[in-house]
Amino acid sequence: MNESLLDVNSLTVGYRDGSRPISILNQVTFRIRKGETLGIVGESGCGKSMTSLAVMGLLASPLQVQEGSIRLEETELTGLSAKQMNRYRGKDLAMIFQEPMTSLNPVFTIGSQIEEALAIHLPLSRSEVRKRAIELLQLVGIPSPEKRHGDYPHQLSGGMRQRAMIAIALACEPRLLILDEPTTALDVTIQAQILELLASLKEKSGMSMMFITHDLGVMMKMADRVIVMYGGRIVETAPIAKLYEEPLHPYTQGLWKAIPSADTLNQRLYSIPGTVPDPREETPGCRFAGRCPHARQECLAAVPPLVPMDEDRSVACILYS
Amino acid sequence: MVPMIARKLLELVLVIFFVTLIVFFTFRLLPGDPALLKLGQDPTPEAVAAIRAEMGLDRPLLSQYLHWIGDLVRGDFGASSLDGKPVLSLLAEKVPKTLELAVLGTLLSLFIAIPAGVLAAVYRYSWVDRLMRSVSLFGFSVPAYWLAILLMLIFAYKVHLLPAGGYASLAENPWLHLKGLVLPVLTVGIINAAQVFRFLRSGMLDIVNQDYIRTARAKGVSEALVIGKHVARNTLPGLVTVVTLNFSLLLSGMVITEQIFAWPGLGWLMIQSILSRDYEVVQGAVLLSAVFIVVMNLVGDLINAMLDPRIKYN
Repeated sequence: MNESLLDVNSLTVGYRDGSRPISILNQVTFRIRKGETLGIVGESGCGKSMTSLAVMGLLASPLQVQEGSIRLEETELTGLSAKQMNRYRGKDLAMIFQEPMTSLNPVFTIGSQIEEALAIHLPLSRSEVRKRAIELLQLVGIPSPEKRHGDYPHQLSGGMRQRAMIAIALACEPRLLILDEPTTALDVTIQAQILELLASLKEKSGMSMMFITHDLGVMMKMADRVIVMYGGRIVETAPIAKLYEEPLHPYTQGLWKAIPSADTLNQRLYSIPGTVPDPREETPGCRFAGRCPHARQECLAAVPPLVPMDEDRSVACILYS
Repeated sequence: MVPMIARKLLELVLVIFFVTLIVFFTFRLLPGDPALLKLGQDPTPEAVAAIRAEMGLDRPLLSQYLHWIGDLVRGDFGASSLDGKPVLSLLAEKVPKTLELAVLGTLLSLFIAIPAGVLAAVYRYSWVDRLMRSVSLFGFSVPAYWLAILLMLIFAYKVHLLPAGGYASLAENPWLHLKGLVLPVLTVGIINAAQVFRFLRSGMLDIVNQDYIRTARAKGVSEALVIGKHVARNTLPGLVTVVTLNFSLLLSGMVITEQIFAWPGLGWLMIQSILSRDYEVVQGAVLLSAVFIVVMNLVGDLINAMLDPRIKYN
C-alpha cells in the first residue's frame, strides 16, 4: 500500500503568450500509492482537470507541460511521443469524464466502443473481444448486456451511459483510473449508485484512483487522501479524515464552511468572498491572499511553499511556517 | 425506413404541386406573347387570334393551368411551340449532357476538397490551413461566369489547348467531346470544391473538439484512427447533405456555365426557351429541376438515416 504508482513532481502546465510563458498549473507535486484513491478538490478553474489531462497526455493545444515530471512507476510520461503515450492510455491509464451524454461517440454502438479499447491493447480474437465486452457490461451493472452491446449511446439513460464509460475505462484493467467529476452530471440517486459501483470495482481490482470533484460529500465517501488546489497550486494535502477534522489552510476551511448542513438550514449559505484570480496576472505572493480572512502583508511578498506538518500532511500557508 | 420514404414521397408530391403553380403563373406574368414570336413580323390580328386559339392561349388562365396539369398527370409534358417537338424528348436529350457535367464536376470538387479539408482540419491554424483557406476564399468569392471566362481566356485563347465551348457527341468524336468537357467541369468543380472544403474544415474542427473524441484519445486510439474513424464517421452525414444539395443544384441548372460554354444541357435549354417564350418547354424544364432537387434531398436523407443511428425512421 505504500509503493508509489504515480509520482508527479513540480508539474507546471501553461501556454505561451507571444514570448511570455503563462503558467496555469504551478509546481504541482503529489503521489498516488498503489490501491489508493487520491481526491482532488477545488473550485472551477483551480487546475483539477488540467492536472488529470496532463497525466493522460491529453492537454489540448496550446497547453503544454512546461516543467516537471510525471512518472508512472518506472516510466517517465512527460516527453513521450503521442505514439508512445498511446501504449499507456487506455491500458495503464484510463479516464472517465464528467459528461456521459457527450463522451460516447453517437454513431458507434456501446459494444464496439468497449471493444475498440480491448482490440487496441490486448491480443484477443474477435470473439474473445466480444465476450469480454459483454462481461464488462455485466460487471458495471448494465442489465441484459447481450442486448445493450448493440445499442447506441442515445438509447441509454445518463446513468447507463456513465456505466458504459466505466466499462470502456476498465476494459484493459488499468493501474490508474482518473475520474473527472464522474457523477456531477447525474441525478443524486444515480450518483450514489455509480459511486457504490466504483468503490466495489476498486475493491475487486486493487487499482488506484485519482478522483476529481468539487463535491466534498462525494470526496468523503471515495478518497483516502485529498489534495486541495487553488489557483493552479496545491494549498493543502492530507488524509481525508484529518482534513475533515482540522482543515488547516484558510481556503480549505472556507470550502468546509461552504457545505450547507442541517444546522445552517435557515441561514444564508456561506461563500468565500471574491473570485479565483486570472492566471495571466502575475502576483508574487499567495494567490488566495486577496480572499483570505487571515491575509497579512507578508502574504503578498512570496508564494508560501508546501510545508510538511506531519508525515502525511502538508500545507502551503504562512500561518504554519 | 418505409414510413420515412412514404412521408418524403408525399412531401415530394406537395412540393411539385407548388412548383407547378409558381412556374405556370410567373411565366404568364412575363411580357411577350408566344403567338407573336411564332408569327414573326407584323402578323394580321386574325392570324394572331387563330394561333392563340390553336395554342390554347385564349382560354382563361385557370383552365389553361388545369389543362396542363391534366396532361402532366398523364405523362404528357406538351410540345415546344417553336418546332412542335415533344417537351419530354427535348428534356431527355438535354438531361444526360447536364448529368455528365454535374457528375464530373461533383467528383472533381470532392477530389480537391476532401484531401484539402482534412489537411486543413488536421493542421488547423498552421500555414497549410491558412494557405488552403485563402485559396478556397478565392473559389468561394468568384462568380462562375468570371471563372469560366478566365479559363476560356487562358486555355482557349492564350494557349490553344482546348475549345472555348461547344458540344461534340461522344459517339462521333470522343476526343473533342472530352476536350470540350474540361473547361466547364473545371468551372463547376472549382467553385463547388470551395464550398465543400469550407464545410468539411469547419465540420471536422467542430467534431475534433467533441468530448467523445477526447474519449477515443483516452482509450489510446492512434491519431490516424481518431481522424480517419471517429472524426470522419461523424463528419460524413453533414458532408452527404452538402454534396447532395450541391449536386441537385448543378443538375437543376448550370445555367451560366452551360450558356458560356455553349453546352446544350438543361440550363442552356431553359435560357433558350425563356428567350423564345416557349412556355411548355420552360415549364417542363423547371418542373424537372424541382424534381431533381427534391429527389436528391430524399436521397441525402436516406443515406444519412443509414449513417446516423440517431435519425429515426418515423
